[in-house]
Amino acid sequence: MRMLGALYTCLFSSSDPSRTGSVTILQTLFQVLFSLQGSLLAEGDLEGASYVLELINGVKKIGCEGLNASLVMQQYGDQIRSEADAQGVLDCLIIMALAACMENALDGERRYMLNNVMAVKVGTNCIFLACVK
Amino acid sequence: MTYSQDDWFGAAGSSHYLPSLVRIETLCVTRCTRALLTFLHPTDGPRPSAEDCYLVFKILTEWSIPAAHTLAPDGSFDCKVMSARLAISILCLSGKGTGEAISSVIENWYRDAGQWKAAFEAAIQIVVGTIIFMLLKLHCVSTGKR
Repeated sequence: MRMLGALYTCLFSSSDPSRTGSVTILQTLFQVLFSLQGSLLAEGDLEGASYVLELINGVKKIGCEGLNASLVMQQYGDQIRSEADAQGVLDCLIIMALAACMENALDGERRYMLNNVMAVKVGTNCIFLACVK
Repeated sequence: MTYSQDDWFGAAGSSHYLPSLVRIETLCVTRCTRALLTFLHPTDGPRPSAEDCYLVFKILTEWSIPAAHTLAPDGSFDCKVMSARLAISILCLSGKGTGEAISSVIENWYRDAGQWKAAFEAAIQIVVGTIIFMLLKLHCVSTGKR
């Protein structure tokens, strides 16, 4: 918990949002945080996992606010024109981070990554149920 | 209950496929679909459960395929090919119920557009190519030829 506290301070105490504005930094942060949360859940450390979830939500918030549009343009060739665009980029970074986690995760942790992909990209509409009705 | 093609693609979960973000969204679909393929066919450890297959199926039908369809109407087929390969993998692994649902989805693709057919053909070529390569390799090993 002390290490997580130090991580929290490191991430959120700075007044400079550009520190987490890079898409590479954001994706790396999401990847390590999701990976850490998966490990903690697999070990049954719910308190630690809950704390990491707070960190993930915090990174989402500052990521959306401080996303560096020119770096997105430079790296992916896409232009951010609105807040919805910034949110869309953030969703993509989260999914790509989860994909990387899924490829490297242990068996017990993969289901957790899968559920997170579901949470980010799949809404309440269930086509499968509609098809089999 | 029947679904038209428009309903089907319009029902995609939280998707807001912004025209300005085509490249990153396409990359996102491709990478995630590739990771799901690895998840379904792990090199080590147990195979995924029926519930895992169902979750992958939901991601495939509610996000990957509609997103690939919207994002890549022409040009790069990467994300479509990966989605098609994932669909084939789920067909191989999962039970009858999911298989039938996927079959109806595939029928819709064929009915609608040549590009999905092309994507499937590309996926099948990849699979066939892999099999031919493996057979060739086995043949070379058994006969000692190079």
